[in-house]
Amino acid sequence: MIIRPYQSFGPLVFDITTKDECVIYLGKPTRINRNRKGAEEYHYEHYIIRFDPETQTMFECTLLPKAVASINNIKVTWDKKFLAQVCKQDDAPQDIFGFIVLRQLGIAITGIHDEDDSQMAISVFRKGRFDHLLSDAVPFEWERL
Amino acid sequence: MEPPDHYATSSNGRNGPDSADYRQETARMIKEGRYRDAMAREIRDVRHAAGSVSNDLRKYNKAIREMLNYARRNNQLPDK
Repeated sequence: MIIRPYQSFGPLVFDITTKDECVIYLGKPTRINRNRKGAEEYHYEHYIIRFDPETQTMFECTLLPKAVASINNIKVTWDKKFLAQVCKQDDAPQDIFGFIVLRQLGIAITGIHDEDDSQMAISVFRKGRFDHLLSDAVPFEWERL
Repeated sequence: MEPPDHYATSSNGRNGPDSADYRQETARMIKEGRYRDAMAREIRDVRHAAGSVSNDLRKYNKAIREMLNYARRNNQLPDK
């Protein structure tokens, strides 16, 4: 699956793709539930796809370990080498409550920098998703990885 | 916590940017000195995760008790 920042995740297009289309592309989810903000989530083995409660279209995806994907020709390898590569490309990585947020690339990474396997995930988000948290952001020193 | 239960907690990174919001809310409570509220919320969240994933609301009672005792000993949980 190719991540195109703020545009798409594989065949799923932000604010366009519906639940029915998602099932056509990815198959039937293994589980469906609602998160605490009321967004419906389609769970697959390596992805969680979230749908906007108002528009019922895809607005966010989370990749889980072993998901095969790439962003800007960087292959997701689920290690610090990958994290360093995307941080370098983003140029302004920030640590927001343990999320390494790359706003140029539209992704947020958990569990790699702090070696916490149970948190390991990459979220692909739409523009502005982390803006309200920026007052709590600190620059992430990726050179130390 | 066992990983599947941990995945279901509101602060877990697998739950996407929403969990960053949750972490911010908790951090704000702590900053305001509302330790009791922050802990109560965490306990509810852990119980909810254990109940929904492992079907056992009491699964982490012992660990929760240990956390509360630790907090009391360190004056993070003053009497109301």
